[in-house]
Amino acid sequence: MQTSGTHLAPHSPDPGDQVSVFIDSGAPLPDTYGDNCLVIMARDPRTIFVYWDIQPTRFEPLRQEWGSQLDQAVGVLRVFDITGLAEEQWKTAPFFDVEVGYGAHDYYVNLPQPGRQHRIEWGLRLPDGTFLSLLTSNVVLLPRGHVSDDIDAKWIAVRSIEEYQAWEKVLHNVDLGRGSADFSRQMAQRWQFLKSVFSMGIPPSSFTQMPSSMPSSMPSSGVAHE
Amino acid sequence: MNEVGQLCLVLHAHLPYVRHPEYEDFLEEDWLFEAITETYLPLLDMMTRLVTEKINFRLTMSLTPPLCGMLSDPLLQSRYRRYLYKLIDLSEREVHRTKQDPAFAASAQMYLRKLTRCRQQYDDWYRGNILQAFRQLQDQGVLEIITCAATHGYLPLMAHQQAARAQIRVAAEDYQRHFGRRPRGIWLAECAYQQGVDALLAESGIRYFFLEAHGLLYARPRPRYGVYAPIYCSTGVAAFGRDMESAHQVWSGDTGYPGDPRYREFYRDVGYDLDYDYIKPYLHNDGVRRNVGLKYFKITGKVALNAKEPYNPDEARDLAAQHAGNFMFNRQKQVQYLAGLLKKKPLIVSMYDAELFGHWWYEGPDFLEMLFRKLHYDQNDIRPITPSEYLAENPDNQLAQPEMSSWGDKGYYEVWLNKSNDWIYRHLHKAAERMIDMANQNPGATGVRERALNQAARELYLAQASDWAFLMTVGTAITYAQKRTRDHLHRFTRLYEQIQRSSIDENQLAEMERRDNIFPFLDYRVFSNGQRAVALT
Repeated sequence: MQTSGTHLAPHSPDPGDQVSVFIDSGAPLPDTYGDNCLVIMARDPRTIFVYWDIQPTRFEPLRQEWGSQLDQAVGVLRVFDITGLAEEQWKTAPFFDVEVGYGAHDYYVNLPQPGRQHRIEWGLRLPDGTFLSLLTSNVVLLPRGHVSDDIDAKWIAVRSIEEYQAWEKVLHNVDLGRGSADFSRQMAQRWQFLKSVFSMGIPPSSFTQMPSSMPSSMPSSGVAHE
Repeated sequence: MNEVGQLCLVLHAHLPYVRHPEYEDFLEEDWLFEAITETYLPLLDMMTRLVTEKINFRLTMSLTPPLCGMLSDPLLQSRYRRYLYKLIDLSEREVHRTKQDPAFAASAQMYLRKLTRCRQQYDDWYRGNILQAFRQLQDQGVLEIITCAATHGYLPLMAHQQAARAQIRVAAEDYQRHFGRRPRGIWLAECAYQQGVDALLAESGIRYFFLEAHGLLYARPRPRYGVYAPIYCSTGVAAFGRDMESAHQVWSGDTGYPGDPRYREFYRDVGYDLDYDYIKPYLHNDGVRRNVGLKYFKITGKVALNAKEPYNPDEARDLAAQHAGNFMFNRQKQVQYLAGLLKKKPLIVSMYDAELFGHWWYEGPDFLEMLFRKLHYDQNDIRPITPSEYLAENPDNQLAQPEMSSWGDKGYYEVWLNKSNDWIYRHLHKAAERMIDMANQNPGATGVRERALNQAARELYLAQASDWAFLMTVGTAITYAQKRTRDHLHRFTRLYEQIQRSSIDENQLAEMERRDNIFPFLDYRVFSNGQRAVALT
């Protein structure tokens, strides 16, 4: 038995030198779930992770239409910048292509600019540039990665989340089919909430939806709240 | 209250749910036992002492659902006692062995004293139920306990909003079960935030969460007070931002307090140093030399492990007091400067992993205790405060949209989404989609079918723990993390297929319930969103 505390065993441990009893990392998971899907995940201001799954049957209509031309096609991720666009404009949004191998099932896409909103399609691009879209992704918004240029500060008072949520319900659920007394009371509650929101500049757009019979103590262009 | 500013100290206490009844002895369960011994019990001891002496302090702690589950699990409580008693036995032998050795006797006696105190706390005072001790401190008003996602799931990387919602809902219910009220605040796993997360918090009545500094600083519009006041999201949920100055003083590997050469060296442990036959009874059953928990050397400097000098407990404790004084001094200067600049009482939010205090930085609990004592007796510039107190005193705050962010390396999601771990997400997303579908298709399941659905939900929750992706990135316990991910997904899939076929193997189900027993009161309907889940096409 060791009689002194100064003995040093021959083995000097490393931080990562904790031997686990496991050499088994678990049974493999399936390569496919039989889906046709394309999922994109924002990772940082300039990176999107993409994974997809596509079944052979998805290519059959294309095979019938394009035949042997498909053999010359390359798999492509078409990355759309849909920032500020309505959904009906997404198809014609600016884009760039990233070639990915047929056998690939995931990719890290690097974006030229941070803070943009994106959508991606996976498809085949023929030598003449024709893009045959096969999968469409969800939408992601990337972070800006720097301080905002917007300095128009707004302030609200929240005394409890329940109180705030009660105000929110009034704000969004004005029932115009009710009698005038109910309606007036709801609008008074709504104004109570809105009066607690101050801005240095333009009032919130909901102000423009107010009916004409409003209380005379209507807030003006806002008081700076310090 | 004439202070110049306020300090909100936040400790995030979390461990992944590791419980293996199928083994008599399991290495990774030591993570819990070490944390109880070196962090949770010392922190409770500290707080109880401060309360007894009527020292004004405030601490905010997240106790995550997996940690609460493990702390209240009878099997793990029994195994912790076994661990502690063995360590006490070793420390008694060590006191005897080092009696004539002045370089190490003081350390050996310190360990015996501290471990005996742990046993007194755990057995005599708390009877194995340390959650009740935390609850009591919260009821006394000095501690604010907040929750975290159900299994520390990384919410922004969940493709289905209902899956993220289910993490929050179960967390809030679990918190109520342990602490007798709804949670007011939450620690998002890894402070990982993206737009929309706050709406899920608001649904569960949660008032606030925390962000890494840039998550708040990059909010839109620009926060008037930087990280020195919270902002409200459009949902009315408040977001507090981390102060990097106080974080750096503790976390910095080069200049932070824990790296001082006089503090205890973590990597020089008796499990490696002492004679094999002597130490073998205190190792795991496989007999492999590993950390046992008794360490006799100090950091000393940038020297090899075999050149470390003997640890001096008194010197280290004095140093912790010095560092506490230094921390307080720096915060005083900071709030004085900020108050002049901002024309408002600044709030300093200092956020750390709880396990830093005591486990990684052995003297950490001493540092905290000294800090609270000094804040109480030696100054009036800074008042310790909890987030709830701050919001009650300061209900008017700026409205802004925080930025996508996390407190992981590089500030975003790379640690949890890179080549080492990105393979998990297609499987997790598919399992979530299936769980949501099953919940929608089985609104009124009973009996075995209900049990199977509940267990499928448990397996999904356990697979979703962000710890696995984290461990795969940092390179420790990689195979364990991979196996946990795969095992839970396989069990989920097995249950899914059996539920679809309406042919459930009850023996298999019972075995899964026995092993993966987190959230005993879980109701799978938490995954229901009243519609068919949309496949990700």
